[in-house]
Amino acid sequence: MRRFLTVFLMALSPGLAQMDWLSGLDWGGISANLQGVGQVMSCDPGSLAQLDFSQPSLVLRGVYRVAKCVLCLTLKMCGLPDDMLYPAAWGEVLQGFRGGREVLIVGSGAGVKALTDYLIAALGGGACQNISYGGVPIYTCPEGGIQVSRAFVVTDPATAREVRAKLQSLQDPNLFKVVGVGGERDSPELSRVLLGLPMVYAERPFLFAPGYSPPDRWLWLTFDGPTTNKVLLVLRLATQYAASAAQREEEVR
Amino acid sequence: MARGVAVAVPGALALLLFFSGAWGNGPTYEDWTKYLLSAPDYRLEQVLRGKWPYLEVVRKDRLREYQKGPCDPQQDPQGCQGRMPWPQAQAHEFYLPMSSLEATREVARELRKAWQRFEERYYWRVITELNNPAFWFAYCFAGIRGPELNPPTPEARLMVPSEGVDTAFLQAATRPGSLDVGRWASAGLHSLDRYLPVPQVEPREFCDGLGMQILPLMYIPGFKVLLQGHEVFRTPGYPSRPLWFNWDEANARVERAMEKALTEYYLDYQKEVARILLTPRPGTPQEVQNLLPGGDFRNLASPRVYLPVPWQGHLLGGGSVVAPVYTELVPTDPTALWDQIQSLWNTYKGLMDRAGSEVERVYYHVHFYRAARTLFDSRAFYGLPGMEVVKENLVNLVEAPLRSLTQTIPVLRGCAGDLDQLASCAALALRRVDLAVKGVGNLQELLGGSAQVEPIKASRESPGLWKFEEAKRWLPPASLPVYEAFGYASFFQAQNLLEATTVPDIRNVDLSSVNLGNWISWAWNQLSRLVVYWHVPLTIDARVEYCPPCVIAYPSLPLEGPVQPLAIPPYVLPFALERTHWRWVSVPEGYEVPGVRGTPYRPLGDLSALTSLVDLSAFYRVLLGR
Repeated sequence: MRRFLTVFLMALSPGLAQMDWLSGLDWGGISANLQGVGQVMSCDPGSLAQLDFSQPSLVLRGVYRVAKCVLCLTLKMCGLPDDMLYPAAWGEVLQGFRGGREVLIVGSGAGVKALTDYLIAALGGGACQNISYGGVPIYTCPEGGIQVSRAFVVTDPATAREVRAKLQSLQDPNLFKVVGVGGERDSPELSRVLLGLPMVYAERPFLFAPGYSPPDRWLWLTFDGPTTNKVLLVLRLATQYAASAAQREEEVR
Repeated sequence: MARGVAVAVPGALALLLFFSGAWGNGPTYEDWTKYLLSAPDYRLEQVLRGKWPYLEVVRKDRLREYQKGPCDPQQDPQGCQGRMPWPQAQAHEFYLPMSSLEATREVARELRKAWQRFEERYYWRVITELNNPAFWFAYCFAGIRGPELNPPTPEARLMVPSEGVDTAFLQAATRPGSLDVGRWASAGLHSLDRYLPVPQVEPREFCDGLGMQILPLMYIPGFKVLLQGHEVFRTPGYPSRPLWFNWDEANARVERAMEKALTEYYLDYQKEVARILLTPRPGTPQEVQNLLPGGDFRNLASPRVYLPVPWQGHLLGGGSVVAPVYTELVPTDPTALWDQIQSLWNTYKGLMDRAGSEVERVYYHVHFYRAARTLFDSRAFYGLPGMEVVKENLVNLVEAPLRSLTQTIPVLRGCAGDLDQLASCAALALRRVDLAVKGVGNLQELLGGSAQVEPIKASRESPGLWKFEEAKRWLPPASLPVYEAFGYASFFQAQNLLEATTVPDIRNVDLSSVNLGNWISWAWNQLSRLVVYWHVPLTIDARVEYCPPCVIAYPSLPLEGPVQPLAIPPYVLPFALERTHWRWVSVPEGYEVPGVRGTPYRPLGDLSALTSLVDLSAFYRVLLGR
């Protein structure tokens, strides 16, 4: 127990050391930090009480922003990025949809469904306000529409079926290529792939965390240069493993 | 950056095309369900004589070839065209020894612990290498560490895999509303129990090859200058930003550490998983046999034994590691047994009420009654006090509702007599209804107003009445006599799935109970594993002191906080490799075993590189006597 306590205190000491304003000693910083306590209110801690827990992305963003603001004001720790990854504005994502290039959407479930709904409606020319997702029906079609040369959607078979059904409304049926991962029975153990974090590639890669809101309110993240290198590293390893898995497929047959 | 992205996308596309292209439209049901569970007949008396209980599975395609009879291509080249080689057709039966549920839960716990170890090693390698030398001193040299990893034993949650259950049954059962089919027992468990600000593994786990590294210089600290206590200058971004930061070195360190973790430490994870999954415990057949005291069923209890069968192994692209499980060999407490039977009844009734037609709903009383009566008449319970009460309970449970139901359907109205006669009569009536559905007889006359669209006995090879059988996929793990009487068995299965996520898993948020505590702990987990470089800003305080009067300038720790985090890309650790998941599934007798591919007892070549494989066929031959 004593050892645990020592370790605990040692681990906490950097944190405790920061709280010199608590120690009651006037080292010169105390008044400045007391002002900091007053400033905490400017971080809008009240927003924590109004978090929408049905929307993971917004909760993450809310908690992170308050925590970051409080750390910055009281402990003068301001080195954390504005979001946990580089956040992307919805405008940047839309920009990708307008370039007339190929678009790739990967992920499963409602988020991918809502996003493809949006694309299909916008490509089909308007009527975006008819889309409803989680009871939030207000989508506005982007001004000037969107142009993509081809859209690939990789998703679970149930979503794939629904998306395919909706493609009928498009003039060009070949505009979308929909791949259902998980075989005819929608089970990850058939394809041995769990679709992880949902991703969109439109000129550059974006990760998104959907919520019960239109896509423009979702949390959109993008990679920056140094991040890309590391994502590449992971992808390279994953490709290696996938290749050896393909060899095992042969062995099993 | 543009070049990096340009490379990233073909990489991602190649990966996706592998998974989408390799199977065309995806693997089909037939590819995955080649094995039938056959006769869970445990020969309970044999168990008393020291033979370990086992299950039998039959490979469908080989069985069909076998039933066609032998074929020698040298004597009859014409007739043997398109036939499987005879020795292959002969090898259509496989024997799987039973393991205890508790032992498989223990295996699941170790699998979870192996993941936790990897997760800790991954993060602490990256953060220690990045923050060298400060963290090297703290964690590698001084050895500051938290408590050992000690995850609780995971719950055995049943899953009804969608690739196993008949789609027609699933459609029928989900018609009234959505139905819980469970999920992988491992879902959401690839995480630590507590995210502490100190490593929970030994220093040597992540300090290997790491020495104190002072050069290259990582940063020039940010500072502010005070003159007689009044600030006169501060560097831009002080105190959060250092004056200069060696971004190239920081990125190189993170990348180097990630590569090490994702290759070496990940390989260790794979090895550990292979060892945990494929090592039988206890380690020798004699030790296993010693756990079977002969003489009386009541001495059997539930020996903790894990006897895995590699169905080509758990690796991606392979099959699974499988172990059929029992909760106890033979139940000895009639009250507990009755509770269990009641829970089976509730599950069964709930499902058949959803999926069955009116006449099928009558019949599940019969089906259940017959199975439970067989169970209670089992030799395992001879002379067990309290069984009479249990038998009475069964009659009370079934008789009254069955009698009242028979009055509503014309074909059943003539059924009378004691409960056994009633049951036989109802079974015969059901057969007439089935024939009528298939075109022999007048359905309207038999059923009156109610409808029967689907055949009751399906036109497929599997035995029994398919709906009643499929429903058994929802029954939980039980003891040997229960499996025998109800005609099903439960399996523990483990296999690797490829997933792309972050570490800790950003999706691991429990939405089932929405409360602030859940969210705060989730946010803490995420924030406590950010990739940050800690730097120390300085204060330079210049004062005129009485020494005799002279000017002294000295650096001191800043009052705003001695250490400051600087987030380094990728901020959160990515992970996109295979990891081991596990689950418990139930399989009706004569029906397809889900989630297995390839051939039992034939481990993949890659597995021998991961662990020293025990010859399980030889191990089990001693135990099973075959």
